[in-house]
Amino acid sequence: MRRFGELITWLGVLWLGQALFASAAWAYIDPGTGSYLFQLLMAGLLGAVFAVKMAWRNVKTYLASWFARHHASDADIH
Amino acid sequence: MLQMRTSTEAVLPSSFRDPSGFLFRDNGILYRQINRVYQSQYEHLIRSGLYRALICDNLLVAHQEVPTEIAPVPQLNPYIVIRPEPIPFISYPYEWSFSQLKACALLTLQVQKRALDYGMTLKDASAYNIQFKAGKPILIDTLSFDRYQEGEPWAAYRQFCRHFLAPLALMAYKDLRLNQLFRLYIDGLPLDLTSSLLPLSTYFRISILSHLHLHARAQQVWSDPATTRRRVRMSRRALLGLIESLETGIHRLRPPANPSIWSQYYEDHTYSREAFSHKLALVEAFLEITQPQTVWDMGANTGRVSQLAARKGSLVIAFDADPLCVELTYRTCVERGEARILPLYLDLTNPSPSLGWAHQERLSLAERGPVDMLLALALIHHLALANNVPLEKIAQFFHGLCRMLVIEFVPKQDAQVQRLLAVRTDIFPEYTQGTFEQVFERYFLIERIARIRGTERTLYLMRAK
Repeated sequence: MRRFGELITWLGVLWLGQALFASAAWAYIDPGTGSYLFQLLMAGLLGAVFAVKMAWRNVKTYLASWFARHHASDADIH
Repeated sequence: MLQMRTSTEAVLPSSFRDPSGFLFRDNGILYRQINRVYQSQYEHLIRSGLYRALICDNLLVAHQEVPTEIAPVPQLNPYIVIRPEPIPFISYPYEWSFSQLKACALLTLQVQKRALDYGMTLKDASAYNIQFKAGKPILIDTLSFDRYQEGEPWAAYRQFCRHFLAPLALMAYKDLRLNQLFRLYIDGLPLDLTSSLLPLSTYFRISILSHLHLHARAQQVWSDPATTRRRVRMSRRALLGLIESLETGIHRLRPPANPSIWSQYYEDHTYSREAFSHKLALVEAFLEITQPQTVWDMGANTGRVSQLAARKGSLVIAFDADPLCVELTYRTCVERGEARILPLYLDLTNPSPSLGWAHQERLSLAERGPVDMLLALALIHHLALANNVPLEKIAQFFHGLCRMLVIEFVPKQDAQVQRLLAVRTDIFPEYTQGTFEQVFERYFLIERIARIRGTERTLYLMRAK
């Protein structure tokens, strides 16, 4: 699952890199503008990766509690 | 250092950028005026429970509200005046080790996540807003919070990358000493410069590729502020993803050297065990006589003498000119839960200067003194012989820094001095114990003199005249 998240990130980052380097133009730098737009450009990607991570964490938490309950009930039987 | 308004009140010259308020001193106590323009944000900070949550977790410096009559600039329409808990010693990012800067970066992200839980966001992410208190980093700017508007990107993203991620990446992938670029670039390291200095291998690290290399590129490509007028939103989930991505990237950064090597990095081979024990006993006796509240240990090495002073109840700043040494001392302090020692990088031959607007935003070392006691152990030969600093200038400088001085004189017959002089001509005829005492007595009263057993070295306790 973690690998899947990393794959999505890589594909997104490669797309971003292509977009940025294809339109290369040196100009007077307004440092805030680029950072602001860069976040917006990354937003979809970051949101998707975050959603995948959260879902995976929820699955892990559920499985951990299920196994804990399962072991506890086994212990009660024995 | 302070811009005086009346005999008792003064606005700190470094506190002028944020219209929400400013810091001032009254009878030596530090206060923060909060202007009416920040009223709704401050009320939300308190009423939402965010302030309490941050205080409970030691993430934000606590404060007390005091009557506004004390406000020094009534025409700025003060809403409230607060008295923050004092920070014993103000330090700066160019004085921190890798792990110290990393801890401050992670604290900033932790605060931002907590702020979002309560409908607020950090409006700035300056490394100068973080200080060390009782050995741990803490946010000191109560006015850093703004109401979070769903859809807005993080306004402090650029500043966070410049102040934290860029120097940490350079230290991790290039050289620990590159943190000194902070001295040149007071508002953090330019991302294009950072990107050009980082090795090509960092293009294969997702967090470095995106937040530094591509971010730097974005700053070049999109330089026209008009382009931001396009109505694009950044969801809360995307914002949390951004914070998480930065956090993961910073967690993965490691200092370049293997810590296991450092355990033997600075073992002192100058002394026999007995001689070193005697030196420690003498320093301990001097500390008991003088009971200093604050100590600066210059050339602290891995902090063995600093630990002694801390055990005696002093707050110790352990300075060293070797960033690896500072890193090791900080890690040791964290492992031991040592709250009374703050290790910092300092090259005494080129100490931290006054920096920033009108030379007043960041204080020089001397402006942060005087300290109760200065320890200059096994140091004078490095200054006088290795760096050609005349004894007179050393005495004069130390006199400006401290009230009490514990200094070790290392004579020419000492093995360490012989090593320093082995490859150069001895041009220091005045470097004798007699001249040393004569020169230092112009600035200090010598109160105690003790020969360190088993060595040719002498320890002095002096009081500034």
